Amino acid sequence: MRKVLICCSSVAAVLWAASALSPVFAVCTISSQPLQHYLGGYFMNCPDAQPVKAFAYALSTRIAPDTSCPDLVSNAQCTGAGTPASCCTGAGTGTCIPCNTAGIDIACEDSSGQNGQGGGCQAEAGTAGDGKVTILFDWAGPGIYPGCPDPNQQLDIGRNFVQLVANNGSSIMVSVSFSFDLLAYAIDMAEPDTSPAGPLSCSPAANCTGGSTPGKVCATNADCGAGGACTKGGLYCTGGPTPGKVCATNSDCGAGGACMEATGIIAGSYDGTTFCGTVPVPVVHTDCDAGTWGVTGGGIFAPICNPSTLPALARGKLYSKTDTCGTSPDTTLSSGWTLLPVAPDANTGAFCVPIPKPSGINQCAFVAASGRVGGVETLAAVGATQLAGQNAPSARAFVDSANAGGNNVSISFHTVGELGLVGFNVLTDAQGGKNRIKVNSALITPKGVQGGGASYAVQIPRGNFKGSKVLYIESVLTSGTLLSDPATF
Amino acid sequence: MIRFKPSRLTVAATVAAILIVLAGSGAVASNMGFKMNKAIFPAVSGTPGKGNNLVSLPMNNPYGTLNGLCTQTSLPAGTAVTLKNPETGSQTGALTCTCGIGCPANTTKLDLSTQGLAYSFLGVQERMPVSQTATFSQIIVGSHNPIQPVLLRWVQNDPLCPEGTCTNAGPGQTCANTPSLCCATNANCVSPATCNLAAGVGETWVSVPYHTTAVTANDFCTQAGIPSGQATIVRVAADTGVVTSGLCGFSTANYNLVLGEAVKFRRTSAGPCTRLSFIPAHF
Repeated sequence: MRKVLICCSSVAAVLWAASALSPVFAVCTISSQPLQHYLGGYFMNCPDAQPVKAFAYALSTRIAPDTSCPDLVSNAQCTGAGTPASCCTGAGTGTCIPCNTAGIDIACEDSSGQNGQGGGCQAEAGTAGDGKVTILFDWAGPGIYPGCPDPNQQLDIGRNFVQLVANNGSSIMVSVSFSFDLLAYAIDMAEPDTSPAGPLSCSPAANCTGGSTPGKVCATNADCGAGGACTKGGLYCTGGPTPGKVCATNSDCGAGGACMEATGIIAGSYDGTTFCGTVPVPVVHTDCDAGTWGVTGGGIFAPICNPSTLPALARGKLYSKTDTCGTSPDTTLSSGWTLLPVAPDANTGAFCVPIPKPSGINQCAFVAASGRVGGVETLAAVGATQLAGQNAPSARAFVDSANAGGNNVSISFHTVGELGLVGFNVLTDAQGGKNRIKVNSALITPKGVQGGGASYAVQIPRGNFKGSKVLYIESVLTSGTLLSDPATF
Repeated sequence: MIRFKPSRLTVAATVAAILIVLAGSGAVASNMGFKMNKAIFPAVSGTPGKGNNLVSLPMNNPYGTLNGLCTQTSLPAGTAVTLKNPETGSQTGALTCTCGIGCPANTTKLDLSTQGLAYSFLGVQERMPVSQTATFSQIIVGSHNPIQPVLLRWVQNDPLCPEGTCTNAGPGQTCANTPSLCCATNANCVSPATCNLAAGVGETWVSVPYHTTAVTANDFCTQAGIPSGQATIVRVAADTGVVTSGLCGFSTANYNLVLGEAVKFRRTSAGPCTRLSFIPAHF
């Protein structure tokens, strides 16, 4: 609770500061310009027991007549952190967004509640804690915030963006253009064209794999029951020879690799001093996505998708912070994240950055990646990953026995800690040691509870070893891999 | 057996009760005259929407003109009273005046159907000056006209569109730099021209009958025979400035109507480009 209060207070303070820094901006003189779920849509799987954080802004293409919300504005209008003089020249760390919702609460967690402008929330918001969230805001409504995206209510003006961060750090980013039919920016236009619309789901930043509750949103392995693991949620290779590669199964990732969901940062390796990984291009749901109201019109409206108004998406910056191991820290970049001096490669997203292990007990380093939309950095990280701490027990496996019998090789091994562990692979040195290959068919699910150790007994078909009599247990972590000592049979 | 023998008092009470019941029935008759105290909320500087009172006037009323509304209901001097012409989207010029200051006796008649428009909707916006900080109680009188239809124009091509046939021609639809070319989307224009759509066209401030049977905005949509998705219906809460936007047939239009408040109907481009006529249901 304290953490929630702290993070919420921090966000509120930053947003307040952003609004306070905002001088006089254009305001809507029309009676209303809603940005809201309009067609019965909502966001699902967005943990919302506590208030969720949502922020919206508009970006113009800067090609007349779409100039009401340019992404480059005068220094005096810079609303970001850092020095305004450098902020709006592109050299600073702040953002220059002249049309945004500032500190207005635009997220509805409860249908009986109100948004920050006093508007009654949509029925689809459900109840707090059910993971259903709607967006409700009026650019011409009450409150102090800068800008009016589409003062003349014309097509293709002032495309809106909404970024929402749920209680567990899972997030979603949506962009819609102006609907002349609705005289509104309808979030539903980026949702599947069902009636009611959608819904869209917050990216499962952390879900259970295996165990008794697969798919459950989780914070630690303990939330997933015996045999379950809490893993960050898109499918990319972690570890192995192709970290960051888009995959469908573990076999797509080669020896030592695991196919995992990723929220925007893919861990490669971490040796305690240097962290290497890959940042994919951020994902934004838009009204130009196939099958959305924006593309099909739902059989009711004319389509509003105009691809030329979609801004370029790019990787952003890297940040780090220290927090309690096994937790999901607030991914809002203003909540204590420190900018790192290394940025992901603009083409591949690959990076290596020095990250020392935190010295505190049960303290872990976290690395997060932001994104850029139309050149503007996102408010919150598009993904984050946890690195092992100085005093956190290692998830390295210790082989207790390996015996060949009949057609199988029986292996017993244990761990003393499983923090950040995704699972195990069994490797062998084939071709006389020239080629290390994986011999298990599926990742071995961790059993450790609350980061603790566990014992394992597995059987592997003897033929998989291709004549080799040496094996290793590879621990696949959220931030790389660890290899056991070799064992013979 | 006890024989019932009514006393004079009992008979008198029974007759009185019958009369009350009959009077009660008459009181909810659609064309019964009525009087209502309508709260007119003050405007607050810097708070858009607050104080924009969208008022339902009865179909039959004694006010006649905007000035008549000012004087007969004693609206505070400086109150702007405004009508909206859905044909042009305009709500300026002769469609608005300021009570006690710029509102001569011969101002626009409240019923635009008498102005050559085939409309009768009688929703009027009243906005007091910010110096008027207290809520004003406006006494509105009148009666309903149970045979008077409300007409809603199609948002795009109507009324130049021949009934039942859609074209791309219509008021408010010109392409920048190529004004002779009509459009519905920017794709209809030669770049860099863009399609300029008049957002206010088609927006109709509809007076909700004081005896309406509609509870929610969606009920009103249903009574108007508007298929799902073919019109937006918007409410302005003058006390908070909050605008509630709903789409007929969708959950967003499940909000409750408020007695005395007009609503803003605006048909979407969906459906036929014919005008839609309806008579609001009532008790």
